[in-house]
Amino acid sequence: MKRGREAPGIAPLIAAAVLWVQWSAAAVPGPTADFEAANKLFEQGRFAEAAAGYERLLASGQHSAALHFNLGNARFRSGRLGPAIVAYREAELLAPRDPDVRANLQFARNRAAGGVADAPALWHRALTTLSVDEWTALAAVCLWLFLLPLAAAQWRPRAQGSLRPFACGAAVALVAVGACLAASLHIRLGSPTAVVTRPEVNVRYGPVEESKTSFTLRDGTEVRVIGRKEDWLQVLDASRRSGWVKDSLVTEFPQRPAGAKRG
Amino acid sequence: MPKADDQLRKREPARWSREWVALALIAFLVGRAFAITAGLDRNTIALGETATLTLTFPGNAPRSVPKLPEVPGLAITFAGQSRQISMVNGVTSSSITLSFHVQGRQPGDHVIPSFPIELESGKQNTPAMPIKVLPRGERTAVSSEMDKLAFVRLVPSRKECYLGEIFPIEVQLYYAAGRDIQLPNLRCEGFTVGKMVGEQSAVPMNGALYNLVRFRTLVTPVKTGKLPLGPAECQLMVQLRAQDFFGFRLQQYSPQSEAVEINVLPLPEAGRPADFSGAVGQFDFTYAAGPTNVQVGDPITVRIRITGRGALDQVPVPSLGEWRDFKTYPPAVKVDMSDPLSVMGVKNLEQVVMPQNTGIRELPPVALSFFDPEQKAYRTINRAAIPVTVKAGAGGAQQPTVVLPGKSGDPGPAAAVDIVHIKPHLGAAASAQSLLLTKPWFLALQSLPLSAWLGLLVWRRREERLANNPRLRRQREVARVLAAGLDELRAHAGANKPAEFHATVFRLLQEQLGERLDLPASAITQSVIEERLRPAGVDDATLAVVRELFESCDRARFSGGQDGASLAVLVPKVESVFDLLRKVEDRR
Repeated sequence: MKRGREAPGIAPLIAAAVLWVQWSAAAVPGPTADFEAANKLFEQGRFAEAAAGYERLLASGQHSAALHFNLGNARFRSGRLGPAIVAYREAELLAPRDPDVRANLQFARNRAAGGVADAPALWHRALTTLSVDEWTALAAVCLWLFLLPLAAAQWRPRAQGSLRPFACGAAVALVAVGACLAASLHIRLGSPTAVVTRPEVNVRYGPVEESKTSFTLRDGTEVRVIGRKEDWLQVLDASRRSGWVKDSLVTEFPQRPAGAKRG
Repeated sequence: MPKADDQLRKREPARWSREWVALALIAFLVGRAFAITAGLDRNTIALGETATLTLTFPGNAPRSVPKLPEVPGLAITFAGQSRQISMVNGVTSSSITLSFHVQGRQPGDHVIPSFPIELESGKQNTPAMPIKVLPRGERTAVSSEMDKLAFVRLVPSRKECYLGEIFPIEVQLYYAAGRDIQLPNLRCEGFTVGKMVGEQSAVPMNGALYNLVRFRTLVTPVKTGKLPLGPAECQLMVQLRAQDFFGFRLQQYSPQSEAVEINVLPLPEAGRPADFSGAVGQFDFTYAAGPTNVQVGDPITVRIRITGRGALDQVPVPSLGEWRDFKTYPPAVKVDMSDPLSVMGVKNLEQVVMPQNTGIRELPPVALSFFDPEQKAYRTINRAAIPVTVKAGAGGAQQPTVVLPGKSGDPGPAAAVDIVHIKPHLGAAASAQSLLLTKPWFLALQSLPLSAWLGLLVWRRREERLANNPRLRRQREVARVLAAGLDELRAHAGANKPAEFHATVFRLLQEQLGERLDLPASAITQSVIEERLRPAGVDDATLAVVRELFESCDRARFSGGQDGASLAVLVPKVESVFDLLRKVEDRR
């Protein structure tokens, strides 16, 4: 009887909550709706508009491998090879083993006339199979596997003998995975690169507008960043040619925060 | 009268003749006043020297600058015009003077012939003007003076070289004072000459300070034998030391250097590589390509970078056009010279090639042959093949598009060359910008096993220390027994059980004193007060309290005891006694 008396009071609340959720979902388009709208524009061949839609989602703080991947496709179809490579590389950071991302990135790099800045070595490819976060999680698991047997050995000293192989194995794994994590971090953060995002970019002998042009980089060319002065980057291309280029003409990896201080 | 008339008639012809003479004289003077004057400032000049021809037009300007006739052996150029205005007894008159430079190019006696000049009043002819050009080596007084004011030297960097070898030369112009210096004119049959670069400085010479202009350039012999190089001739306006009314006088002058003989050797036949194509100099090159892991039809960019000293623009790039199994595109070649004379620099070649089958294992080796004049030998630089991995196109995705008409005329299916299509689902939200490693919750989580291990480690160390110290272990055990015993005391006091209460007090006293004095608890009696506690330095007040407690226990055991209220009052007293006893040290 008590339960029966409460039911009429709760039911309208639940119904109201469900209605509110449905209404709010319908009234404010979520990221999925915006994503699907941009996909629709892509399917209609309105690639520039689709790219703008994906970019709006990114600007709103939404990030996913699929979003970057589709943005790369929209930019590629719009003829913006460099920005497409930037988007594919962002997608690769989030989903390093996604074959679609790898295929399209390779396709775009092949299309870029300048080629790839550094042909990745085998160890480089192996390290980038996992993302930095995945290496971090793996290292954390190894850390737990190493420390928990140690703690158990303190708790039950008699079990020390049986726990020692686990601890030793975990220690070796921790060192190996830690080294991979460090190398992965170095690849991600320690060797900055840049992608040319304009049809043609003049690389100058010095970091001033008046400096003579040393050579020209084409859209999509990837170069290593070896120096920086104010808003100029010193870059090194695959032919070991170096020069200075305005940072607004390229996109750096890792990307710098919008308000990063220059110097 | 008739006589007078006759005399008059006789005088008439004489008067008329005088009038005619006067009229003729006036006409001659007027004609002279408007006649053109033409003349040379010198009638004898040295070879290469310049005289000045002036044409003066008093008050009667020419319609245009007259074109002087061409005279073999002389070079005549217009030098400018000037106007003079004079005022005599209130009468103003003006004249215009045109100046021409006459340079002796060939020795001998030359004549500038008469030539007509068109004036407003009609045509007038100039007189013919003879001029003598002395043979080479003979100098006039003026040219001897000019030689001291400006002279030229031709300095080659070598006098023997190989055919096609590029080498620098220097034309040095020394002059005391002057202006309007022209680039040197170098006689160089059998050589090609590069661009000239000038550099000015001042040098002391023979007690005077000369301006020195070094014109540097590169020459390349194009035929063999002993070839004359030079003379080099510079043209400038020399400032003469004589000073006229308007300041220093400038004189055009074209000093010449001596010619030098260059012995051009032919390239040796011995040791000439089969692929040698005429490059002479010192060169090196790098050979790179990327990407090297591709699918059939993928573009590979081959980069060849030639560096060195020599005529880089004439150095042939290693040809990739004959590579079988590759589809090649026209190369992009760019030459960047790093020095002003363009003798050193870099030649870059970029060529896109596409592997056509999966059997390709490498990009072929390349070689560059050239003649090194420093080593006087041919050299061939080889660069090894570049390994490549060529895979079949994934599902034909990377195959080149080949459209072949079918039998029925329809084009048939074309191989797909495209990117993978977009993804329909947004997927899990993630951020590549913030790393897991930098998140506080993650770091806190990793501290858990570490904390557990450290905590257990400390606990284990403590346990082991306790196990290895029996006295400490007994001390802790007694503390635990005392804590429990005091609870029992309170319970016995509350239950009004004096016998149990005092029995517990006695037991606790034994435990505490036994632990302090390191004796078995059963060995503790009242006698230890005097035997052990007093020698241990326990003060009298404490001893008195302990004694009273022992006696109280004895009384209770043998005579029954107190009520519950008085027992409850005893509990704090017992506690204080145990506090005092904990401070007792065994001083044996």
